[in-house]
Amino acid sequence: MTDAHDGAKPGFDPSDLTKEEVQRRVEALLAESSEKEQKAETRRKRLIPAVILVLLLLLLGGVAAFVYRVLSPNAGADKKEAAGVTWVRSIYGFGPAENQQFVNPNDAVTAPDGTIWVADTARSRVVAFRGDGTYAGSMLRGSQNTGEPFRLPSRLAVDPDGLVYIADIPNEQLTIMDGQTKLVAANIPGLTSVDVNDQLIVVGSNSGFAILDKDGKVKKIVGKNGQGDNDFDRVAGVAIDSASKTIYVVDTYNNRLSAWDFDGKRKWIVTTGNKANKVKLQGGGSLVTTTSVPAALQLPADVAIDGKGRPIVLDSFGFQLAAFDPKDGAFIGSWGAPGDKDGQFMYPATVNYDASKDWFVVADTSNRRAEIIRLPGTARDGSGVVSALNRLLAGPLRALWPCLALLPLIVIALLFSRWRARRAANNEEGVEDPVEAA
Amino acid sequence: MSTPSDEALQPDVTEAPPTGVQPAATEPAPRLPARPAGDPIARTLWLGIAFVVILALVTVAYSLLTNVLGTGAPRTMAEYKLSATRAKIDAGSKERKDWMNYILALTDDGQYQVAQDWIDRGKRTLKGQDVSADMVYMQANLYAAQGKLDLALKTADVGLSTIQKTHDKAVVEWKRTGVPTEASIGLSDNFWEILLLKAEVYEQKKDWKGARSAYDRYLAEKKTAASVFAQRAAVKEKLKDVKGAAADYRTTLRFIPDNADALAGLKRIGAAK
Repeated sequence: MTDAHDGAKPGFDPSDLTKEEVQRRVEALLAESSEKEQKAETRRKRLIPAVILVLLLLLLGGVAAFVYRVLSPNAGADKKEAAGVTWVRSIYGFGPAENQQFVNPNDAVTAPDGTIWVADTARSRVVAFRGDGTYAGSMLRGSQNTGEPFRLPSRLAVDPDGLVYIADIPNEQLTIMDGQTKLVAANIPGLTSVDVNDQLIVVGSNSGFAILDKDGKVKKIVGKNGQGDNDFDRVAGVAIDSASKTIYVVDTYNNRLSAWDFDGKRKWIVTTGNKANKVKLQGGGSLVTTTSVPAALQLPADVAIDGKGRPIVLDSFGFQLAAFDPKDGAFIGSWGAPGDKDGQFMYPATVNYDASKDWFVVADTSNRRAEIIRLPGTARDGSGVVSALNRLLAGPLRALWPCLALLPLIVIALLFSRWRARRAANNEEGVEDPVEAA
Repeated sequence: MSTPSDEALQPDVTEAPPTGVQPAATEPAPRLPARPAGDPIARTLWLGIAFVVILALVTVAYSLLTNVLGTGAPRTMAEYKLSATRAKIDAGSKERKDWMNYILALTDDGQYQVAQDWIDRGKRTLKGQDVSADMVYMQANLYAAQGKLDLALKTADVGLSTIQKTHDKAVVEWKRTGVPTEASIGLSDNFWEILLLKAEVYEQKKDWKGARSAYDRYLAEKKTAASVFAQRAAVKEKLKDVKGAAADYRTTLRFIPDNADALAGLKRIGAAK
């Protein structure tokens, strides 16, 4: 029998075929043509959405890249100008108007949820910002006239429950705020600084520091005002390291850093520079600032603990951050330079570390800003990728949060539709659905 | 009578029972013909488009609701300076210092065309340009920022000679009339700023002699400009004038004992002790 496909062969005579064969051939040709048409139709049906999807993704990608570029200003002093400090971003206020910007931000701390609270002292307010520097919608307002709930917020601390502790230095008052509600205010003579963890409150003063429990009951008072080994002259910064159960104390005018256990016993003490309360002059009336002390700090003003558990001391008049060994207080290194460029400092007041993002928030007072910066080698071991991801999602990319939240839903929807398709296919093939059978 | 071909065209009645005829209880239930389904791949693609559109809309809505796009507050020092100086200009200030600060902020922020517009506007509207040459200084600074170094030097020279000529003329007039004016009392501060700008432009051009000459002129008048002594010392280092560089670094240290540039410079040239 002649094959349907050899119709073009020379010597082919259609009259040789029976009616049945002709019909079969016609049907085969029709089926082939229909199959081709169907394939073309299927291709067309797939091509249109595929092209739309690709164009849509390209368009969205382009728009996202453009918006990200606009929202991430290419600023920051170069490495040499910033002396090793990497600038992330700065916060100058919560709006474009003059009265929405900081006058003299005295402290900036990070809450457990990533909110950055900035004390704008002269305007009697504490303002909440997100990690990308935008206003988070919360503001605690004080009053310089009535002092309620606070007068001049100078130092801040946030406990693991998100309560904000406000040291009102001119008022010598420690005020605790839960949102807009004032919980308690304690009068502490010569109050200068505060830090808090889940068990303790540590407050610094002009003549030492005190360890309190979370109810405000004094557990231990350490020191008296003076220049001796056991004395203090303005504790401008305290930091609690819960992991090693250590309290770090910056003795500003004595230019010293010391470490204490939670019972108030000293672990070590180091001199970090020339005493500011025993000024020496040299020819021409200049201050003697040269020193044999390796850290050579000019005026230590605050301390924070980095991811490696090292105390990082802010040198307000040296415009730098210095790292010390938590075991013995040995000087490790310092970073930072004076100036108003992004990443530089001008008489900064405080420093705070956010371990989840491996960055520091510095109250750069004279530059009227809170600066988010990074230092080399401060991340907790093995947390580099996580903190990098956290930093990304704390920036403009936080716009992707809803997408990330919806992603599990999309995956579930896809899995469900696949399961349904498989079930339908099984039904067609007559395979018993195990679920239905059950 | 039906032919075989006629039979072939008849529907296959054995495939489905006639309507109303119930199958025997022992026979399996007849399978309904599968509903013609669309292409699953095409359906998935359309579904993907819908997801992408929904996610994009959700992202935009979230961004708008939570200020991802910002609150208009400055984010960098350049933006902060712009915002602070712009406020004064918007308030209608005609103070030349306010205009200069605004134009400097625009230049620092890289908004060169806007800076140029304000320089042109300032030339037309600000008084006393012959005394202080503010806009010429701003123009030279703008050229330097744009990397047009030769133009910056030429414009700086125009600024210096304008201030000098006006001052000289005013001094003659003062002597004649006995009445002092702003221009006769002394050279405008801009004169010294322009000299520093010239020195920095020469440094960018690696014309060390030109830079030294500009610094010499500046320091001949400003004898306590500690950090400028360190800048001149660095230029002297380039000119292999080690003795001169050491002297300048030491002058800086006389005013600022721990000046990092001076200490590093002395160490570099081996004169630290």
